[in-house]
Parts: sequence; C-alpha cells; structure tokens
Amino acid sequence: MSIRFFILTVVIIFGLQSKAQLPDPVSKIKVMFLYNFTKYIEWPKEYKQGDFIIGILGGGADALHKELEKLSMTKKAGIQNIVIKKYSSLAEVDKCHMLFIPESKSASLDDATATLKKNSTLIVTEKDGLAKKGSAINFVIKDNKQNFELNKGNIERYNLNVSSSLLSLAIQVN
Amino acid sequence: MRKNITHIALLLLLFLGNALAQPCVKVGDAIQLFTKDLEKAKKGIEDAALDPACSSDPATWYYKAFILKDYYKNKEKTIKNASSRIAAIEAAKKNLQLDPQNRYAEECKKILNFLAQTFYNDASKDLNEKKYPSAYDNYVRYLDIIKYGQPDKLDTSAIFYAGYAASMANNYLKAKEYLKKAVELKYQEPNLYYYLGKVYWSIGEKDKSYEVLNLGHALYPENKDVILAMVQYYSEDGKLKVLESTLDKAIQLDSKSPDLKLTQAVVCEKLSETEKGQEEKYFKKSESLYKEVIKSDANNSRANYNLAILYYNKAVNIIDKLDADSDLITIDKIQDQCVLIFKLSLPYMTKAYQLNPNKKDVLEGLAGIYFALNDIPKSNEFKQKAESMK
Repeated sequence: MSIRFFILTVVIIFGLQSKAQLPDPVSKIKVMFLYNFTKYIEWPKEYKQGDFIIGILGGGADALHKELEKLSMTKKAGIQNIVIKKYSSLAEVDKCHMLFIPESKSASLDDATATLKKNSTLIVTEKDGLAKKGSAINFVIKDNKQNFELNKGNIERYNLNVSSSLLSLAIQVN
Repeated sequence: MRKNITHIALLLLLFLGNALAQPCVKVGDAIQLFTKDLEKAKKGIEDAALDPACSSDPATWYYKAFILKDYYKNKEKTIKNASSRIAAIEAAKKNLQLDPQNRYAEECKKILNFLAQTFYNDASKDLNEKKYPSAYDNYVRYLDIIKYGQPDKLDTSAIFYAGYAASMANNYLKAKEYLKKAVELKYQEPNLYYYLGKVYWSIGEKDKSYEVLNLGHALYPENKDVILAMVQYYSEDGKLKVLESTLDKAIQLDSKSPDLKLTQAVVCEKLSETEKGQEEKYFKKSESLYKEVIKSDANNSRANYNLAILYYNKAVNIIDKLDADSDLITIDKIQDQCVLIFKLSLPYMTKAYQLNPNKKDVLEGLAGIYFALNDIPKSNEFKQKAESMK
C-alpha cells in the first residue's frame, strides 16, 4: 500500500512580509529646512541667550513635532539648546524664535502677525499664498518637492536678518 | 475449499504432533471441532489453555494460536482490536517461550508473521485515512510482533512509518525515537529527514533540526520538501544570511515558483537594511526577483505591492538617514533623487490597487507614496479609503 505524505512547508514560509517604513519623509525634509533657517537667519541680541524656542501652533503636525524633538536632542542653534513647544493658542506664545503654523491653523496667521508684531519670531507656514499674507517663510510644493517661499519684508519686519545665501535658494515673494 | 485445506493442514500437524507427543485430550477435542464449529473450537482451545493438564504443553499454545488466528480471519477481521488476534499472538509467543525443542516454532512464526502483517495493513490504511494515532499504534504492534516472527529482520520501512505517524499525531517524543532510529539505520527516504527535522523543531531542538535537514539535503539535494523546511525554519529563526543561500538552492530546484522568489526578495530586502556595505547588492537582488515574478505574471499582487514598498522604503531610508547638518542644496538633491524613486514605486502600487482595490495595506501604501510625492489631495483620498476599511 502506498502512503501519501502530507507536507505543510510551503504554506508557512511567507511569514516574512514587506512593510512600509514608518518615518514621515515630508516632515523630515521640513525639519531639515527649519534647522537650516536657524543658520541663515539672524535673531537680535536678546534672542541669542537662553534656549532657542521652536513652537508649533495648535494640535496636529505630530510627525513634524516628533522629528523636531529628535533634532533637538542632537543639535543646537548656534550655542543655544533647541526646545520644542506646542502652543494651543497664540496667547501662550511668549519668546519664541520660530513659530510653525500648520496648514490646519492657517486661518490664525492674521492673529499671529498681530500678536507677535513686537517679537522677533520667524513665522513659518505651509499653505499656498501665505507668504504674501504675512508669513516670513511658507513651504510650497514644486515638482513634487518641498520648497519654500521667502518674504524678505515680512522677515525684516520682525527685526530679523536674512542671509543672501538663503535668499538665493528661496522662491522670493514680495 | 480453503477451509478444507486448512483442516487438512491442521490434521497433518496433529498427526505430526502425535508422532512427537500426544496433545492433551481437550486440545484434541478442540481440533476435532475446528471444521465443524469454529466458535466451539475457540471455546475448547481456550478452556484447554486454562487447564493445568494442558497449559504447560507447548502444543496447546500452538493449536490455540492456530485456531484463534483462523477465528480472527473468519470472524473478527473487521473488528478493531479484535481479541482473537491478540490472543493468537500471545499464544504463539507462549509456545515459542515453552518450546525449547522448537517443535512448533516455524509454524508459530508463520502465524506471527501473518498477524503482524495484518497490523501493518491496518496501519497503512489508518495512515491514508489520516488516523495517525491509530496508525502509530498499529505500526508499533507490527514491529513488536515481527521481531518474534522474523528475529533477523529489521523493518526500517515500518520504523519510519511509525515515526511518521507519531509525528503527524503530534506525538513528538515517539516520533523522534522512531525517526532517529530510521536515520541510524540509513532508511532511504528523503521525507524521513523532513519529518525528523520537523519533530526536532517542534520540541525546540533547533540545532538538531538544522543538522538533520542539512544531512537530508546533502543526501537528497534534489528534494524540495527538505530544503523548504530549512527555508521555513531559518525564516522563523530570523537567520537571514543562511536563509538567503538556502533559498537560492530552493529556487534552483524550483525556478518557476513565484512564492520562493517573493520570499527571497523579502529576505534580500531585509538584508539590504542590515548588511553594512552590501545594501545595494541586496536591494538590486530583491528588485530583480520581484521584476522576474511580475514579468511572468503581471497580475501578481504581492510582487507589485512588495516592489512598490521596496522602492518606497529605499527613498524613505535615504531621507531618514539624511544628516541634519546637510545644507539646502544637498536637501534639494536628495529630494530630486527620492522623487524619482517614489515615482518608480507608484505604478506598482497602482497595479496592486487595481488588483486589490479594497486592501487596506495597498490603500495605505498609495496614500504614503502620494504623500511623499507631496500630492496631498490624492494622498488624502486613499487615506480616507483606507480608514473606511476599518
């Protein structure tokens, strides 16, 4: 009598699966841009002491927040430690070097420019047209890539100086 | 007719027995009843075996074995664990024990061989009906009986099948015992190595499992099951380097198997993440394997999905490893490079989506690729579809 064997192997070997990586590549690129801005923009003397504050307005932008936190653990802005803060409202913003307004909070830009007009805060946004409406730097998408618009007037209004190198790499907006 | 022949044989033996020694009266009565009434013959010989006047005579046990064997053949053949079969075996064994001159030994051995064969046949039938515990029991009984019937014979085939049946019944300790013995006896069957490897693996003796499977592979390099078991265990064990070389061999044996190529592609993808200095080599190998599968079957959804993920992960890794001190020009160049890679990924994930429009992984994959390409409306569209899958 012939015996039939029952082999189970092939069914099981594919426990191995391809998985998409978790890091958010867009947030990582934006954070690299933000860190570069700390090098190409000069803050007034009174902002060169203490911590270098990078704020995020409102909830959301979790991936960007996470990337910023990672950055703050290894890098400094000049000699200043980088500290990341999340603000639920503009009223909480005090001495902040850079304020990132996520797209979902873009409607707050007018309030932000009014509230921070006496501060030296670099306002960074990520919605089309906002560089013309008060933000200093606005992330835009060009050829599937992250790029940034820069409004020199809006930077200088906050007593900040921008290097010519950054100007040459930016999409300049008046 | 057959009955008559048996009867003649029995009477002949009785005559032969007479020539040697006279069996006791009760045994003689039972023999006389044999052709007339098998039930009464059985009862008679059983009574005789209990009678002190007969029980010490080896002939009594021989005739008991003979009559009960015939009773089993005619009346209880279809009964599982038939008592007549067991009693016939015990009687034949008793004769061999009591009969120092071996007067009935050859006949008793024939009876034992016949009954052993019935257990073997039952075992084979059980095995094919997937009644593994019963198959195991029957093989073990066969092996136990045959050693009286044929003391010089070692039935390696039955030893292997006993181990096989035990392994299929998840009786791993017994399976190990019998399969190991079959290996020691050099039983020629590639599945022997597959099953012993499986048993060792199941009881946590991983090194032994690899040792046996490698031995099996060395003896039977063309056997797929042995090598696939190695692939499975190396995979479960996370031994990617040896898994890769084993998969290469498996693919040589079965070059048309998309599953093996896909597994190897995933292994190479993982090695590209862990083997320093060989990232590109493993990436290329993985990419090439996925493309081979897609070339032979454009609608292989897993190959399309995995290749898309391979590209996506490559680009994400480049960005993730980007040093924070990189200047803006470098960041721009990296973005250019990664956009190209994300664009390589997109058609394969789109194809996977066409093949599986409701698969959450695929929808999330598309959302991720469009997001990485900064096409946020498209990304949100697929993200929402993926969320609706919850």
